[in-house]
This record gives sequence, structure tokens and C-alpha cells, in this order.
Amino acid sequence: MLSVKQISKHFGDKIVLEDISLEIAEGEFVSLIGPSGSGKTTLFNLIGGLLMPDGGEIWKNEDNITNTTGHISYMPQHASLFPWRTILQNVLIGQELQGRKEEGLAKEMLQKAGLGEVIHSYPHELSGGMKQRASFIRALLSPQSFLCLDEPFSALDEFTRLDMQKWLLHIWEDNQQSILFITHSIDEALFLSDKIVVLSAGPAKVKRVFEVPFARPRDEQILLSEEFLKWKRMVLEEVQR
Amino acid sequence: MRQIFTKGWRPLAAILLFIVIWQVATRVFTIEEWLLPAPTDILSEAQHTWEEFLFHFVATVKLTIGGFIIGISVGLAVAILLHMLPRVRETFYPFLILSQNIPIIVLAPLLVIWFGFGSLPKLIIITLSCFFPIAVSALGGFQQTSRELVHYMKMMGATKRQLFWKLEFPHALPSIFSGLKISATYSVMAAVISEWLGAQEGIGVFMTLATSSFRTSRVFVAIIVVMVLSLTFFGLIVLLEKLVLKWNKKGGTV
Ligand SMILES: Nc1ncnc2c1ncn2[C@@H]1O[C@H](COP(=O)(O)OP(=O)(O)OP(=O)(O)O)[C@@H](O)[C@H]1O
Ligand SMILES: [Mg+2]
Repeated sequence: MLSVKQISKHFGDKIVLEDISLEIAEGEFVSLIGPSGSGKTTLFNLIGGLLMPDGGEIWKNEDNITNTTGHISYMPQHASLFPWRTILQNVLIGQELQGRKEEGLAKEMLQKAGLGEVIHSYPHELSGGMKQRASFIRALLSPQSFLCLDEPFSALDEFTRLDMQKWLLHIWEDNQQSILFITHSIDEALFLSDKIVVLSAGPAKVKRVFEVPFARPRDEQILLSEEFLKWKRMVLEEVQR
Repeated sequence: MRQIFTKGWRPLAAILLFIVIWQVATRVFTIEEWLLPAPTDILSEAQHTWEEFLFHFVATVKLTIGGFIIGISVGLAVAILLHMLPRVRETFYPFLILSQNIPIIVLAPLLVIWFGFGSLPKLIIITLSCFFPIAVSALGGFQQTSRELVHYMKMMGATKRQLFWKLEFPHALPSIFSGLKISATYSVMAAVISEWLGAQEGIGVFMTLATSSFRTSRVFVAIIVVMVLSLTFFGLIVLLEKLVLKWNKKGGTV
């Protein structure tokens, strides 16, 4: 379990985060939505240990991990693959940093992700969606069991996006790692997550937490259901309030 | 290969044309051989002297390679040091540039006075002229590492060492290779110059001997060999670059 406890952070004289508390249980998928510039990426940098909070602590199970790195796995907005590494070498980098490589498992997962043909290709030979998939496999393969995804699909077009969401659900339902997921799309958050945390802006506070009721495994049919629209309206109202 | 041919024919034609004009001009204006030898004179001189010349040639090649290797090692070491220690960088970067303002022609005799006629002063001269392009280009490459990739590595808990060897160094390789190409050509010139000031062997020695006895054809043989040597060095680096930077074919960054 990962707990963010009363975190606050300022840059210069601007308070970005104020008294943020969150909990992500083992195997839980939590989405974070909030206005642009509200401090979501900053919260990630704090959880990743790159920044020291002004107040509050971050705990992973029984360890205080505030301002220490290496406890989470990360997937950035842009694929950020290393251009001189093949896809296989790229997805292994997280393991390399921690010292053990499981090439067999990596190949198997790439195969399942539909990237079996390109494991020895370089990133510039792949489409945007393929790169993003490789980037997600890289995050999954890293030994840390806790994943932070920062708007991973926002650079993709609408069709690829839905494909990627379905694909991510499918892969994740097999692996059941804990995920904290930043997104701007309410549809995406509802479709993917167990819990949605809505942040306010300037300074960011937790406005409200929704427990998403849809049963798993989910398929895209629910995107068109009455129930889904009702929830979407509710979350939207909360965001705009 | 075909690409080299289709691209290479223009400069080749230009060189051929130049040689023809040169040949014709020396004949038409009946220029003395000790003033400006015709290409054919140079060719026959080359045939005469090649056995004697080979000995000097080998010496220069050895000196060049030795100096080049020391030079790039020093250049890389300086770049890594300055990159890892920002304070040191701010303090010593100006000195790096100043080191290039020392006229080698003036420095060389001093080095001989300090270190004698052995190979040390020669290696210092070559190192001095070829560490700079490497150091500057490598440092530039390290500093320009993609912010996104650095952020990723840090989020994943990479140590400073891992950050350097897994990201910054490979990221800087294309710039390091540009530096290497410049250094490779400099190192040949520097080797020849270093031989001018007292050596027993080398193309530089061969040149000074030929100049002082007005055997101009010999000087030209040496000049042409130096040019070919420079080109060969450059070509080898380009080849190595092609092998090492296979991924960089389209210059694609992600
Ligand atoms: N290193 C920094 N120094 C100063 N200000 C910063 C720094 N990092 C972020 N900020 C400021 O903090 C605020 C929150 O930025 P952050 O990137 O966390 O927003 P975000 O919620 O991720 O936005 P978006 O949805 O657009 O990605 C912004 O106003 C930004 O200008
Ligand atoms: Mg952001």
C-alpha cells in the first residue's frame, strides 16, 4: 500500500499542493484528475522522491520513502524510449537499474503486447501507439510493484487511445499491480479505475474521491451505458464546481 | 559503395581538372622544378624515394596514432570531469579555451627545452591540439541530454553513475564522433609539425630535409601523403561511427 500523508509543496511564493492525502491499496487502480497546472506532475515527482515536500510524508507499506528514489516505476507522457536501444533492451532498462534482467519474461510480455515482431527494432521504427505500449511494458517489467503513469495516452489520437485503454486494462487485469494514473479524460478515468481522485487548482487539494462501481473485467460496452453517463455527469460536475 | 561513387565524382573530377591545369601550366610557362614541380615530376620522385620514405611514413603514423589515443583519452576525461563537477566546470572552462590560444609553433621549442628530444614533447603537442575538439563536443553532448529521459531515469531511481553510463554517454556519442573527426585530422598535422623540431625520423623530418636542399618535388610528395593520411584517418572514424551509431541512421530521437 502507498500512502501520501498531508503533503504540501510550494515553488517560490506559489503554493502548488496543500495537504494532499491519498491511499492506493495493493492491486488498486487509482486515477487522478484535475485542471492543467494544478500540480499532478509535481505530486508524482514527490512520490518518485525527486522533490522534498514542505510538509507531510510518503509511505510504502512500512517504509517512509519521502524524498528517496527507486521505489516506484514510472511511465511518462511521451514514451521516452532510448533511441540507441532496441525495444527489448529498452523495456529491460528498469530491471537493469535494479540489477537483474529477465529477458525471457520481457520477450513474452512484448509478444503479448503485439510487439513480438519488433523486439529488435529501434524506437524510431515504431508508431506512436507501439512506442507507448513498449513504454508501458517497460514500466510493468521494472521490479517496483507500484506504477505511476503520467497522462500516458494524451499524445495519441482518439482511436489509438481507445485501443490502448482496452489493451492496458487487459494487461493490467493479468498483472494486478497498483497504479496511480494521471489523466485529463473523465471517460478514461471511469473506464480504467477503481477510484477517482478529483483535485482542485491553486493550490491543489483533494476535492472528492469517487469509488467506481463497474465490475471487472470491463469491456468497452460500458462506455455507452446509462450508468456510465450518469457517473460521467457526476464527476464532471465535481470537476467544474 | 554506389552512393560514394555517385556523390564522389564531382570532387574527383575537380581534382583531376586541377591536376591537368597544373601540369599544362608548368609546361607552358616552363616553370623550374625547384620552384613548382609538375605532377608528373612529383610522381616520378615518389617512385624514386618511396623506399626511403616508407621508414619516415611509418614513424609518423605511429606517432599520430599514439598522440591521437592519448589526446582523445585526455579530452574525454576532461569532459567527464567538467560534466560531473559543475563548480570545476565554471572555474576551468575558460582555461580550456585559453589552452587553444597558445601558438604551438612557439610552444614546441620550449617543450623540447623542457623535455628533451624524446617522444614526450611530440606527444604533448599532438595531445594539446586534439584533446580540445573532443572535450568541447563531448561536454556539449553530455549537457544536451534530453530532459525527458533524465527525468525518467531519476524517477526510476538511477544512480549518478547509471545516469551517466546508461544515458548521458550514449546520448553524447554522435557529438563525440564529430569531435573525433576533427581531432583525427588535427592529429596528423600536429604530428608533422612536432617532427619539425628535432626528430630522427618522420614525414616532418623528411620535409625539412627536402626543403633545405630545394628538392621541391620531395616536399610535394610529403604534402600529398600527409593529405591522404589525414583523409584516411577521417574515413576510419566515419566508418567506426557508422558501425557504432547504427541506430542513428535517420537521426531519429524519441
Ligand atoms: N520545478 C518547478 N519550479 C517552479 N515551478 C514549478 C516547478 N514545477 C512545477 N511548477 C509549477 O507548479 C504548478 C504545477 O505544475 P504541474 O506540472 O505539477 O501541473 P500538472 O497538474 O501536471 O499540469 P498538466 O496537467 O498541464 O500536466 C505549475 O504552475 C508549474 O508552473
Ligand atoms: Mg503534468
